[in-house]
Amino acid sequence: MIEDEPRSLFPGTLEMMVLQTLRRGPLHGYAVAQHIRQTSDDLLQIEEGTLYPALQRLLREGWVVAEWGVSARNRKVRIYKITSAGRKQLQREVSSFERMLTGISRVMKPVES
Amino acid sequence: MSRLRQLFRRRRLDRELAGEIAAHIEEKADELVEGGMSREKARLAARAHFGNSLAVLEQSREVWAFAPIESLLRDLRIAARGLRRAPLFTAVAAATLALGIGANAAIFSLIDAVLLRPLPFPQSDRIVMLWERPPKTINTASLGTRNQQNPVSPANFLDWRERTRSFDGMAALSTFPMGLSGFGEPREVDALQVSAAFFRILGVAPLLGRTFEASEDVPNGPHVVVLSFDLWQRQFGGDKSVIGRTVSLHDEPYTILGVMPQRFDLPFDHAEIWVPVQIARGMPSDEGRYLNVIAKLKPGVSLAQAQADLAGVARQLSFERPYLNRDWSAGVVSLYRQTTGEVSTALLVLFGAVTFVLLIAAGNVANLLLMRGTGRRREFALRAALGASRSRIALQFLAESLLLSIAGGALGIALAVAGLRAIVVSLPALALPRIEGIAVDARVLAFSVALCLGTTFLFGLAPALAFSRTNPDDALKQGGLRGASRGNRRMRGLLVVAEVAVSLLLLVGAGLLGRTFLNQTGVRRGFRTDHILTMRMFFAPARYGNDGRRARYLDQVLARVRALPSVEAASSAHFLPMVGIVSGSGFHRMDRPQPAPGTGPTADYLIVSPRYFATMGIPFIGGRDFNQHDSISAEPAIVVNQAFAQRFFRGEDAIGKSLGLDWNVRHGIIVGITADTRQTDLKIDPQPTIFLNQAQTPMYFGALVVRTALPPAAVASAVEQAVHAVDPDQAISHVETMDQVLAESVARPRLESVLLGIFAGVALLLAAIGLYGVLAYSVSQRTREIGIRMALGASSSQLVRAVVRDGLGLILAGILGGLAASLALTRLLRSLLYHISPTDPLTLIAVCTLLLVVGLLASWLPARRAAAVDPVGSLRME
Repeated sequence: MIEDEPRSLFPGTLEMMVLQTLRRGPLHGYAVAQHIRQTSDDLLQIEEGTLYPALQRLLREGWVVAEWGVSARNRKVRIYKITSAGRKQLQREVSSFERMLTGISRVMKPVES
Repeated sequence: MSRLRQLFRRRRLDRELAGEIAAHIEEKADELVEGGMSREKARLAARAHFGNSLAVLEQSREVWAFAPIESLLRDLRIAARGLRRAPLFTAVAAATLALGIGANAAIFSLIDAVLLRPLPFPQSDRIVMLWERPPKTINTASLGTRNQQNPVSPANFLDWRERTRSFDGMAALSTFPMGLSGFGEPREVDALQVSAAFFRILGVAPLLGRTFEASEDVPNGPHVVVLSFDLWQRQFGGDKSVIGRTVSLHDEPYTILGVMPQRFDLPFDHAEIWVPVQIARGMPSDEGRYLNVIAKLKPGVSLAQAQADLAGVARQLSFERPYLNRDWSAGVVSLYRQTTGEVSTALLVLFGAVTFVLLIAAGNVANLLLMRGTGRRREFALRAALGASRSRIALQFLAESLLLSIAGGALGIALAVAGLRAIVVSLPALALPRIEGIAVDARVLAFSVALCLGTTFLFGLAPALAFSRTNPDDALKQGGLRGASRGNRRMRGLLVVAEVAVSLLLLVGAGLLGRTFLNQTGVRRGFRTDHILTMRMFFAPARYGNDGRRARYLDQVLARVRALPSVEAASSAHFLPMVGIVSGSGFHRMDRPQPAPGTGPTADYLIVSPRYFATMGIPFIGGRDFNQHDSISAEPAIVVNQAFAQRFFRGEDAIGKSLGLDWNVRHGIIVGITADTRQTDLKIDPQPTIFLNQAQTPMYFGALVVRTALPPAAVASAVEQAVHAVDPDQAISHVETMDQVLAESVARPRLESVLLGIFAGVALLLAAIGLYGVLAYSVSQRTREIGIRMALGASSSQLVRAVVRDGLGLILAGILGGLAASLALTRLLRSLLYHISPTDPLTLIAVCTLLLVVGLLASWLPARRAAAVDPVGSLRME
């Protein structure tokens, strides 16, 4: 049975990671997937395919733009670039994500007696 | 906006995305090859890493699309394609749903018009009707179910109005026909005499002019009239200058004060004109009970408070005027209940019935879908394997159901419109209150749409869930298709059992109502109805105010009518039989001490002309009919019926005895005894009745009864001409045959039993189809098993028995369930039944037998198919 969306991540996390990745510069889809896998030390084993619906959502919201270009291996690919709206969104998400992490770690911390 | 544009650019987006995904996988493969993997392996690994690319495409698409609408449209498109491929299935399912939804829409429109819509008056929940309640000692059987609702005497009305504290206005109403002349053909119009407060209580302002002032509602007050919209349009062409003009009513000039808006009318006292009732104390007739009374509750006063208040005043009056009011009380009922009370049970029963029909229809369609779904398991499995999510498959199933119910709903509404027209046409006016407001309108459409959606989930959800759970592995395996899952089969069996049970319940209900109708019409009426023409008239007081003149007038009319060639006999009665009304009053035997006022016996009074009994075919038991010697100056003659003689002269000869009468003739001698007849309603047994002679106590209104040799309708215009030969201005109304009068009196019970019969028939048919479908399907699924059995030596009769046994099990379970439901529910019908018990064993046995026969037939057909299986062929299959 195939689920509609992987539930291993918090909703929106993948988009946040994509935006974070694109902040360093425009990349095509495969490169984004590579980068996320490498920087997370293979901790996040996403199915690479799920990246594309996420990219479509980012495009729809206007947080990234895409144009056709050529990859390092000389293939015609779409290069994604973060927009200023995307940067603002990333800011917002990061801070709310940090708040959430803080909250979670407080709950998870063993009680000191 | 941009999303809408995206919708159109979808195709290009799809192509681009597909290219991008392909590039991604290639890149990955390249990288893996660089890491030392073979090209072949690298490609597979890259694919695996990427995941399901079709699902990715789908999800990406959904990001752009108006996702829900987009996927719904797609599902509907796929569903429509699927349905087109299975035309027989689609037709059967849609027709089944059309029956269910159509029946519901039709009955809902009836209920909506009659029960649900508020009365068309502001604050109508505060409008009530007031009645006198006769003491138990008085025989009010002729009033039927309304025997606690006696009209009110003017004297009591005036005291109620003065002394009660709960009401914000109280009005007396008295209905009578008036001859309207001076505008072409003299016409009888329905007039309602009303108190000035009438219009204020109902809270409706006139369209033109004004209504009555209290100062005009006094005895000998001005002759003024308010017109209904329809009459104004018809007689005056909607001319606005009619205000202030005069019309002739009963030969007297009346000034037109105003015109009421369209559709302003009381649900029970229909009127075309309103005139002031102009009653006051001390009037000669102020103690006769003939008024209807409406009132408006003060804000915040409950019905119970008003009831207590009114009953208190009625109690005072019973002491103050014991000769009139001893042991009488009074009651308050809301105008809504007054209007709908009698029909609400019947309508709710019908609504229950159509709900059941819809449930059966939904059950059948669910069954069809389950069967169809079983045949399509491989298709679903393939879909699932290709990446369709479970909800996707379930939604697609629901889309198919939705299309079916939309098709069924559209057909059903067409059915409802046609059915309603038939119902309205078949009913006489006023048989159902407010029926004129009936229409398949936005409310009914909304109800039907809700019904469609509801049934979609009802019959679509179970199959949708059942099949979205399909495990692709199992279903795709060779042979995994054979044999529906056991759970599925049990669900279908249960559906059929429930359908049989519900149709049994409906058949029992229809049987009981049908027997009621037969009991009612088969009852001994005591008079004939064939070849009798009737027409009603009112004798204008201006011309016939004098008693002698009035008596002579009708004599002349009857003489002319009797002289017509095809007329065998003619007479008159002040109320025709079967129109629901009769007069009633007190009397006493002159040879016994006179009882204290208000404590004597009562009887029905009917005022007839000589030869009434001969005309209506009512035989005399003894004595004689009225004759020409019983004139207005002679001692009044009395004819009584057998019920009267037996009750008040048991073991004596009533003929020759004198009676004191509470009537405008105060006494008389019994000259004849007739056989008993039913007067007000077929359901009501013959009541003790005193007949008086129209010539000796002339009434202001009456109905001619004319027995003819030819079909009565052929003689109608000749009779009307004979009347107009005596008085060209005589208005005539209700020209009908007695057969029609009788048919109208049972129109509602007939309609109820016919409708319930139709619904029960539909239920039976659907249940039989359901049973047939389940068995036929199971036979077709088990062809191989049957083939093996035959190969092993089972005879065809054994196989037939096996299948019929399966069917019989389902039928018997359904019958048991249905019997239990019937015993529990038919009680609700009790108020509609006549001379039959809600658990009438004969009806129950007959219905069970019918179901058993139909059920066995529905099982036998597929059983024969099983026996015809070719064992060799079936084993070669697949």
